[in-house]
Amino acid sequence: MMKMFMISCLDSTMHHSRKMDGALGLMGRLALKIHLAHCPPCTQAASSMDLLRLAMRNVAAGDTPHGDRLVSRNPPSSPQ
Amino acid sequence: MPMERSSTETTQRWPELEVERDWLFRQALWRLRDRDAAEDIAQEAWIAAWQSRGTWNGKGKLRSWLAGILRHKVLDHLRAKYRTGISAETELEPQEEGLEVFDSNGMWKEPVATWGDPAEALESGAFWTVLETCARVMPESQYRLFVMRELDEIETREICQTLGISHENCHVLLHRARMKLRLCLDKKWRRAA
Repeated sequence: MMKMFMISCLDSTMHHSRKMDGALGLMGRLALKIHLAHCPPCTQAASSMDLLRLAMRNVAAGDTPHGDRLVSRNPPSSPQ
Repeated sequence: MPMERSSTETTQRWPELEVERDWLFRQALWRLRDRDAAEDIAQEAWIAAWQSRGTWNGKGKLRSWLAGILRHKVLDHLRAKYRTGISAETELEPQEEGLEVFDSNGMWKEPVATWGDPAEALESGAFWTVLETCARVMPESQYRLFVMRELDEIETREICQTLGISHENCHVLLHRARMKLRLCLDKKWRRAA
């Protein structure tokens, strides 16, 4: 029974990615939870994927000074 | 020319919209990674905003309203660009980067570095600089999906339809995009710090 919840670290990252997209079923979520509880590296990897999402949402909001600065070099001239 | 008239009119009548021109361009550039296309799309969005100024109720953030207009323009652009769909099969084959950190049993080959406090990372200029660098070199299909999902928060179902790829490939590409970007930041930002 427990074997079905045993996943590799690669699977764990795939599960986490699917979870971020709302595409991970109950069994997958359970397997991921069990794996992350015992795997610090995968927990770190999951956190870093979450941070990437947070960063992109900050870019979308346009209220991060660094994110705003990034692509503002050589802005286009206004059509006048 | 309507564009010129609009620009002059907005400066006089709606200065708030005028000052968002550069912001629109930057948002378009993040989504398209192509300066020419970004300029065109940002311009189209800006003009559309001016033309539909009557629908702006003045409540909420102007940028949120503009972002909605820009999103539609970008999606229209992508639908036209990917009329025949991304060639998912050819996109999937050579892009194992990001997954080479696992051995044949799917276990990490090396320890995974901690990225520390997210709030600190977001305040770090180095983080943003490396993020931009890493995003620029991502394969087109992966970046396209990643941006649609993470920047525009579009549901994967709609992304698949827009880009003409299967759900399964959509998830595979998103996973690889996240892993590739994560690995790039790991190497160039986290471990270099």
